[in-house]
Amino acid sequence: MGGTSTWVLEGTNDDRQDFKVVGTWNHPGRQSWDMVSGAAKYPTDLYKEGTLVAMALRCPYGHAKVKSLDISEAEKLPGVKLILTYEDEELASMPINVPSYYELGRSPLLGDEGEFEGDECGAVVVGVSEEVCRKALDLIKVKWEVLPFVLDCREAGKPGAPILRPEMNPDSNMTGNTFGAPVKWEIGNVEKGFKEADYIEVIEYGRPMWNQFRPMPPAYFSYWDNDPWGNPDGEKMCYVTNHAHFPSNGPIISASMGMGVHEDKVRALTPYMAARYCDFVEKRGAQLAPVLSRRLGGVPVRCVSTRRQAFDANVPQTFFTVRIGFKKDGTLVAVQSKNVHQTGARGGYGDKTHGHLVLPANAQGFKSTSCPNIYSEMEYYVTNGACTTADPGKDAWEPVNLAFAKIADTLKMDISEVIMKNVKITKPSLESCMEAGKKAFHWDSKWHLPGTKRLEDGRFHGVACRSCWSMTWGMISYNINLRMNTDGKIYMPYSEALIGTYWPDAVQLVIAEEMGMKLEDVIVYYAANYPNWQKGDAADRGSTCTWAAKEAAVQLKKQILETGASLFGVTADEVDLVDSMITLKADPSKQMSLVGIGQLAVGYCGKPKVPFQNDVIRTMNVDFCEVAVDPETGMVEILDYCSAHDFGKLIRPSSGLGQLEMALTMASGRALREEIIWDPNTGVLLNGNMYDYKVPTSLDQPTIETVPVETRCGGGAYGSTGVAHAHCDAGLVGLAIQNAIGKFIPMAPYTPDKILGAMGTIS
Amino acid sequence: MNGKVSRRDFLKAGGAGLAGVALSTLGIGTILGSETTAGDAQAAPGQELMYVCPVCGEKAEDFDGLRKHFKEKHPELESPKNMVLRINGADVGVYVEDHWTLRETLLRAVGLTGNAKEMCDRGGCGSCTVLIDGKPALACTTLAVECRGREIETSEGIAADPAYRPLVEAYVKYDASQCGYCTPGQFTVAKYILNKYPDPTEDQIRTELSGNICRCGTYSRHVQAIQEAAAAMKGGKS
Ligand code: FES
Ligand code: FES
Repeated sequence: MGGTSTWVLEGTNDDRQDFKVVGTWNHPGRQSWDMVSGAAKYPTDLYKEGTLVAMALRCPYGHAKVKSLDISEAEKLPGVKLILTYEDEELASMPINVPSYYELGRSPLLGDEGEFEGDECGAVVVGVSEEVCRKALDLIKVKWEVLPFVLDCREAGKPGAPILRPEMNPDSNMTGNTFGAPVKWEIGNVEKGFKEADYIEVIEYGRPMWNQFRPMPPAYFSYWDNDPWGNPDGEKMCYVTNHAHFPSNGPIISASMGMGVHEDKVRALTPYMAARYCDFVEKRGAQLAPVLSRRLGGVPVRCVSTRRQAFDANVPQTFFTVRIGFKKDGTLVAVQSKNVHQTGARGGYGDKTHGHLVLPANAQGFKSTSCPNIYSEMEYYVTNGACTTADPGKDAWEPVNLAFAKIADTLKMDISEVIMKNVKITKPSLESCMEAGKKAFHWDSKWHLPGTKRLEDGRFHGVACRSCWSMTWGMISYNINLRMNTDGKIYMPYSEALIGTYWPDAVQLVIAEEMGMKLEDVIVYYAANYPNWQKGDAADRGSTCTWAAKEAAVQLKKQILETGASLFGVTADEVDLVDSMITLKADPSKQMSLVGIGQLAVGYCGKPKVPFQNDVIRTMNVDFCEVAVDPETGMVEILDYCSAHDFGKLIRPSSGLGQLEMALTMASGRALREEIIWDPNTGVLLNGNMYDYKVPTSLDQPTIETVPVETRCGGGAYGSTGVAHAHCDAGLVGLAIQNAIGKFIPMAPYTPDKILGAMGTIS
Repeated sequence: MNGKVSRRDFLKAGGAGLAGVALSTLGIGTILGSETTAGDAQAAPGQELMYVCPVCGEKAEDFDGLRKHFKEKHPELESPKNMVLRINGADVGVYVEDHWTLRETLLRAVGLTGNAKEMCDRGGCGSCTVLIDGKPALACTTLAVECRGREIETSEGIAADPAYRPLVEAYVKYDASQCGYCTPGQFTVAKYILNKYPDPTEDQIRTELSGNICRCGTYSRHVQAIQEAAAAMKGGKS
C-alpha cells in the first residue's frame, strides 16, 4: 500500500533517453511479407515427395483400457505402410528422457490406456494419405475395458472417487506439485487477522476447462536425411517441425529427449509454427513422427490431428473459495484461500512427450498485497478431462481482484481506490497505470455503485477495473550472437519458430539503436539450430532477450570503433557510428563505410537480474471494462476495454500493443463464451469444433483502447517488460457485470443462463 | 493435355518475380523474407506436380503413367482424374480425385499453401478462403472438380499482383499477422473487400471478415490495413 519500487536499471545504456528507432512505428517484421502472401510454410504446409501420414487411434470413451488389439485387417489395406502398437518395444521405452523440471514421473509415449475421450493410445498407423489412415484405424479391432471417469476436479477429490492414476498416488487423485511448492503455507497469523477485521466475507471464483485454440491443429512433419555438414559416424540427421516450444527449440528438445539422441542429430525445419499462448504441450507427434520416419527408412512422415482432436489439451479448471477479512477503510487484513485445481488426465501440464508439470494458481497474488495474514491451501486432482496446458493469463490475480471488488461492494467504495489501498507497491508503476487508464477510460464519469445505472435501451450498465503484474521472465540466459560481415551489415541469427510476438524485430530495433546503425543494415534472420539456446521465443521473455541483445550490440560497436579509429588514425574515443558510418566526432563530414573493413563478431550470453517469479513485481498494469447487460436475455456486450500497461519501455509499439489486443480479445472470449463441455454420462467431448466452441470473431472483438505506460522499471532493455501474459483473464468482465447487476457470478464464462440465474429471472 | 505446364508458364501468367524459383522443395527458402523479395510471392506452384498413387504411394512419371499404374495395380478402383484449374491467371494441370477438396488439391497437387491452411476442417474459420470468380469461397468445403473453368485466386497471386502491392504494404506495416496462420485467408478476403467497397468502413470490413477467425486477435489491424490500402489504391479496383 503506497510502497515504492526502487529499481536500478542495470547493464550498459539501460537509462538511455535519446531514442532514434526504439519506440517508433512502421517497421514491417522480417517475416511479415511471407506470412501475408502465404509463402510462409507451416508444419501443415510442408509436403515432400513421398510424404506419408500418421494418425493415432483415439480412445472413444471417457476412460478406457485396451484389452486386445487386432491389426491384421488394417495391415492388409493398400497404402498402409506401418502400424505400431503400444507393445512395440521402442515406443514402450519412450520418452527416454524428460526435462528435469517435470518432477512427477512420466507415462509411455503411446500406452494402452485412454485417459480421456480422444486420447491417443493403442496404435499408430502410417499410410499414404489421411483417408487410408482413417480406414485403417476403422479396421483395427479393439476390445476396450471401459473404466470409470471423473471430469470435475472437485469430484475427483471426494472420498470414494475412483482412483485414476494409482501408479502416481494409490490413495487419492491428488498429485504432486512441481518445484516442490508447499501445499499449505501461511504468512502472519490468519486467525488473529480475522479477529482484527471489521468485516468478513467469502468470495468464490471458478473457471471451467477452456481451450487456448491455437490456430494450427498440431501437425508434425519429420524425415531423416544425410547431414549436409557431414557426420562422422555416418548417421542420418533428423529433421522436424515445431508446434509448441517450451523450452525453446521445442522440436529439437522433444525429438532428442524422446529418442534419447543428442540434440546435434535433430534439425528444425521451419520458423513458422503458428501461435502458442503459453502452452507447454508438445503433442506426441513431436516424438512419434521422427520415430515412424526412421522406421520407414527416413521418408517424410506427418503426424496429423484434426481440429476436434486438438481439443485434447486444455487450460485446467480451477476453483477458489477465499475468506477475506478487512477493515472499515477497505484494508485487507486476513486471507484464507483454498484452491482446488485440475491437473488433467496426465497429472499436470504437458503431454506424454514431456512428463508432468503442475502449477496451480493458489494464493500467490495476495502476496503482492499489503495484507499481513495469508493462509493458502491447495489441492490438485487428476481427472479424465484431456491433458492440461498452462494458462496464458495470470490466474493468481483473479481471486485478488475479486476480493477487491467484494470489499468495494461491501463498503460502497470505488474499486480503483480499493486496489490502490491494498496493493503493496504502488509507485511508480501501478499509480501511473491507474492514473493513465482512468483518464483514457473516463472512469470518473463512468463508475457508479453496483446495480444503479441503466442505459437508454434498458440494459444495465457496469464498469470495473483490475490490476495485475506485467511480468518479465528472466529465468533464462539469452544467447545473442552478432557479427559484422564484409558487406558492412550486422547479422543476428535466431533459431526459434515465431509465435507472433515479433521479438526478433524488437531486438533489431535495439541493436540498431545501440550501434548507431540504420535499421536496414541490421539483419535478424532465422537460422535453424544456429545458437541452440534461448532467445525470445516465449511472449514475455522477448523483453529480457532485448536486454542481452543490447549488451552484445554495445560490445560489437566497441570493436567496430576500435577498427575504424585505427583506419582513421585516431583513438576510439574520437569516432562514433552514425547511420551505419564510422564518423569522426570532430568533423562529422568525415565518414567511413563499414563495407570491407573486416569481419567482427561477438557473443553475449547472460541475463539481467530478473527473478523467475517474485511476490512483488515492479511493473504492473490496470485493465478497465465497460459492459451492458440485457436483463431480458442475459446477454452481455462489452462496450469498452481499456488497458493501461506498464511496458517499462515500449520498444516496438505495433507489436507491443498488438499483444494487448490479442490477450484482451482472448479474454473476452473466455469471459463470455469459451468453455469445454463434456457429456457427463459418457465423458465424450460435446463442443470440440468451431461452431460449438466459439472464439471471438471480428464482430465480437470489443473496442480495445491501449494505453502504454513507461516507467523503465522492467528487466528488459531500457527497463522494458512483458506484455500478453497479464491480460488474458476472464474475471474483469465478471466484475463489470457485478457492477451492472449488483450480483457476483462465481463461475466463468458469464453466459446468459448464469446472468439470468443471478438476477433471479430463472432458477 | 497431359497436365504438364512448365514452371516458366506459371511465372509468366502469374506475374511473379523470380524469387520463388530457387526455393527448396519444402518451400521454406523465402524465410529471409524482405520487402524486395518475399513480397513477390510465388503465384505459381512451389513444387513439381506430383503423380503419386493415393492408394499405394507409388510414383508415376506423369498422369498417363499414373493411369496405367491404376489399371494394373488397382483395377477395381476408379481411374484418377486429371483436370485443368485456372489459378492466379494460369492454367494448371493437376491430378485430382473426385472427393478432393480444393484445399487438399492446393496443398497436395498444386503446392500453393497460402490458402491451404486448415484451422477448422468444416467451413467455420475462413483460413482456407480463396476467391472463386472474384468471391470468397472456402477451399475446405469446395470440391476441386467443381472449380473447372472458374477463376481461382489465392493469396500468393494477389500478393504478386502489382495492383495489390499497397495492400501487402499496409498488411506488413500494421502487423496484421501475428502468428500468421489465418493471414492469407484474411488477406484474400481483403482483396474482395477492396473490390466491393471503394472506401470501406470499419463496419463493412468487420462484417466481411467475420468468417475469418484470428485467435491472435489481429482484427483491428486488418481494418487499418484495408482502409489504408483503399486510400492508396484510390478505390481499390484492380
Ligand atoms: S478450414 Fe476451411 S473454413 Fe476452416
Ligand atoms: S495471426 Fe494468428 S490466428 Fe490470426
